[in-house]
Amino acid sequence: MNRWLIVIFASLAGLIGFANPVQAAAPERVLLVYDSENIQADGQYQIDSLSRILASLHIVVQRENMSAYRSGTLTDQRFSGVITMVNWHQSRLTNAQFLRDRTAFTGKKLHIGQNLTAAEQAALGAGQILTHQQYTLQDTASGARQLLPFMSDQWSLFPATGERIGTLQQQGTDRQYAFGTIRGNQAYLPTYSASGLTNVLSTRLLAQFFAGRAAEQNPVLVLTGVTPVSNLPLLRRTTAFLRQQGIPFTVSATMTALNPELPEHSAYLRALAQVQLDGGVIFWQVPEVYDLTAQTAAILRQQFNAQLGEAIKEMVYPVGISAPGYWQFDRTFRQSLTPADQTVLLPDPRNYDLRRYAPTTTAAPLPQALAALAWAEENTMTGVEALRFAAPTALTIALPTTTKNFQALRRQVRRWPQQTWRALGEDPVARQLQGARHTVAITAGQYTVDGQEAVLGQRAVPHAQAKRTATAASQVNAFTRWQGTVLLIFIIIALAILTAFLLYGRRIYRNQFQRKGPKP
Amino acid sequence: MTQFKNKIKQFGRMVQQWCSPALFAVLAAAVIVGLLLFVPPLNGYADNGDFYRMMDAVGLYHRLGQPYRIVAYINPTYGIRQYFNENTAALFSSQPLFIRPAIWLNQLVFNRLVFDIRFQGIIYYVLFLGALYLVVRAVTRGRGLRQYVLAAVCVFVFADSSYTLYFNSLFGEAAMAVTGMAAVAALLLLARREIRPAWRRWLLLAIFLFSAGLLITVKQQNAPLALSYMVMALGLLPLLPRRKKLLAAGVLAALLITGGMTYKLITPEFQNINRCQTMTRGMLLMDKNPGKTLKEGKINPQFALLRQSVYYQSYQPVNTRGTVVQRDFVQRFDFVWVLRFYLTHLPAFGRILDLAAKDGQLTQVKAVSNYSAASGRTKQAQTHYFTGFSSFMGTFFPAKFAFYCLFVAVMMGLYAGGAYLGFRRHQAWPIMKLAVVTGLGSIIIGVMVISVVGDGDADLAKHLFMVAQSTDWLLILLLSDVTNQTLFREPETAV
Repeated sequence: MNRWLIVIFASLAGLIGFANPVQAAAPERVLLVYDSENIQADGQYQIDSLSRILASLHIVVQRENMSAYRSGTLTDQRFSGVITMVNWHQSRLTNAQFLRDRTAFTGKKLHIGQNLTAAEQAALGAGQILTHQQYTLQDTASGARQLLPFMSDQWSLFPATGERIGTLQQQGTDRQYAFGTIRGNQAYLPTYSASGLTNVLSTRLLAQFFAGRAAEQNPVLVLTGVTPVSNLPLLRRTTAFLRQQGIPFTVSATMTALNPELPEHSAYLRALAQVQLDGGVIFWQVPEVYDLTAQTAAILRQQFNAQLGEAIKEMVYPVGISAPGYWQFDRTFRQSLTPADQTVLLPDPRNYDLRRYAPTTTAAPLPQALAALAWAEENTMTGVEALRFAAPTALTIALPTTTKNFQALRRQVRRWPQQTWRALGEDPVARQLQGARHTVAITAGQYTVDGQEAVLGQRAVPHAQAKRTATAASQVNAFTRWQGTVLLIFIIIALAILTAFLLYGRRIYRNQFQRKGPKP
Repeated sequence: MTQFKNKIKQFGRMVQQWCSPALFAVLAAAVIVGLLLFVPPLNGYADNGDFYRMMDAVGLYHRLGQPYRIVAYINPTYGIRQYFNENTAALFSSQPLFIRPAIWLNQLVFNRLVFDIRFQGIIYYVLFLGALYLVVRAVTRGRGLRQYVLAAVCVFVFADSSYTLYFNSLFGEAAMAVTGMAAVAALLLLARREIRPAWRRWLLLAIFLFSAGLLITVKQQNAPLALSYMVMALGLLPLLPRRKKLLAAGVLAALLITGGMTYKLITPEFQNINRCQTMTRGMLLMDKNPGKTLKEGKINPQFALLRQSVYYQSYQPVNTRGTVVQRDFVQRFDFVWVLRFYLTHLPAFGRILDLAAKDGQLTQVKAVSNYSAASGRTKQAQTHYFTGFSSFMGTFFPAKFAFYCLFVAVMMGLYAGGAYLGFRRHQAWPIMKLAVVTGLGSIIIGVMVISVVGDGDADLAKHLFMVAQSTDWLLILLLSDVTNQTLFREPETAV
């Protein structure tokens, strides 16, 4: 009996180790040095995208602006790799100290963008500089193709031989160049994009170069924009449609615990419970924070616990957290990411200023992160039946807000008929979300709440109505509260009496002038 | 003993001879307010986050290398932009007319680069003393002892720190405090028989027009006050000969246009803020079943969950400026919709109006500090210096909307009696008083209704600033008329 138990335990442990090879090794550390955020060309979102992909590869990234780089930061002891990202090649921003440290550095070096130094050129081998070209990017492994926008910059390109990721087919000729090039410890990407085939191949290069593996995996479908004020009938229609199509999905939902007494509060949570019955997994999405203070971490913790408590009451069991990428780079925010085993890193929001209270250059190490990518933006690829990524990826699609949007979502699903999705809920590894009062976990589709098995659609925790405590008013308060009413009534009565007197007096006054007795 | 008595009498006579009640009030207020504003520790109101609206418009900025404090402490100094100011004004306001002279004065005598907020204080201080002079002239007659007591009461009421603290700030209420006093005082004086030379009357008319115009345009929410000041200006009609009635019509039209223009120039951003908050901080808060009401109005009932939040609220599950909230919520209703809701849900309307009534006399802004960080006080510390009147009114004035209605009705009834007699006796003054009382009454009721319909209970105490001042005016007027026995008659000559 005992031997069997050991065998089962050992095979389970092996399964966990197999399914999650990333967690076994200590996280690699990579230094990302960029020349500029280049906000004018939305360069900051490229940096954000790259950081999130590195986080999903379980690589801890430290970001430095080139101008702020300090000598001695990049050493073999601290980092296993360095990424030089040129976001604004026209500026030709550079830092002699960084270049010196990078030359001395013996770890892995990746250059993204233009302005390759002579040393990098030499490490990459013979290449040529091309300008004013149009290329078709091809992935020989999957057969995917994508026509890149016309390029008027100068790209250093290397022959499509040796270790390479994807090829660039020059339009009008049969010349081919490597897209991603790896030569020993030096790698190169001529450009980077947060979407499309460029992103798929860049991710593969990052995985192969830094993590030493490029096993392709299925993406997770994540429905975003689900909020307490969402259109619930449309939410139900969407999830029912996904269930009909047999697509497992995850919902990144913000929650509220501000007005639990309103029927709309439980209506929202009931809709989320229905989402789970339709095969969806719920991720708790962090709120939008505009003004950070020293209390922010405490407020977020309190909100999270309150909202988790409310959710569990209505049989909604969030098992992960989703947050914008920049939350990794703030000590205040990152505390909110720790309760979850699994995190979806969403792109940085564009409709409000990103404020930080205790900014850090190093990202918070997360146990398992999924980098979000807008699904619709992958439609630019052709010749591919299904999307597969070298890093854990969440393909996001916004919850439809109108019937027209819903039709668009249906079209999007039908556009990728061969797409296989990873079902987060079916993972054999236990993933848990730890609140102050409750712990929710999911293993192979089985939810547990505080260690007890929870069946979807059945209450695990008895639904108790919170009793309101009566507030005791002080004597003065009580006086001022009643004083107004009492005075009001008193004055109305006094006015009524006065009016009566006035009328009575007026009659007496008039009577004085009226003749008494019979008219003559 | 008798010698001592004589000395006092002699001193009293000297004061009577050299110092009118108005001058007495001005001198007293100058000392009281001067101590508050200019003698360290510096007092005023701290930034609640709204100062940027004015700072951007007039070219001030947070000084570099120094902490800029919000709410917790006053910022005593600001940087003055030396180069082109690319910011457009966040809103249309007459307030820069008060701030710019302060900056010029500052640059003339103090510093070209650094603006000390006390120079703003000086501008308002001088204007305030002038307005107070007019107020006391308007409510006193002659130099009897009682008139000096009346003058002292005026100081006690209008120089209360809760009003004068605004002077050392970039809040529009400072301008409202001064212009509100001057406008009504000018009208009351205009109708007085003893103001003889024509140029003085023209001056008073100009003061009224200027003050009312500035007051209406200082903030968008004051736009509807144009109607109240029009009602007050109706009191000019009996003063004018038939052929000059056109002038009065011109004055009325000018006020109306100013109000209309101010309303028209509200930026879409502010409209959205107000629209959103009238729901989240008003209707949704007061309604027992807000989701149902929203559904009846063809709005997604889930928006009831935005209850209690404000427009720029942090830690929200949804962005109020995002498309979903804007398209499906904010753009789905207007103020007529909200007003119709309140009129069909009278208990909810009553509850929110009572909430407004509760804040009606709370003039000292409790949310922001009165001290600078250098004073060493705790954050958001409040001064209690010369706040007797506002504390008294805040505590004991009945906080019921019905009481305000009753108060206004009784005041109008009293002055209607006087006006009726004035009409028969061809006296302009009692008629003007009725017009002024009606105008002030309409401010009290109107501002409360507009505030709650326009912005819910958000910033209520600040929105109701004019309610408190109008109540003060009505009480002072009544006190003056009772003291001078002029409620129903105008004295032939000065007493």
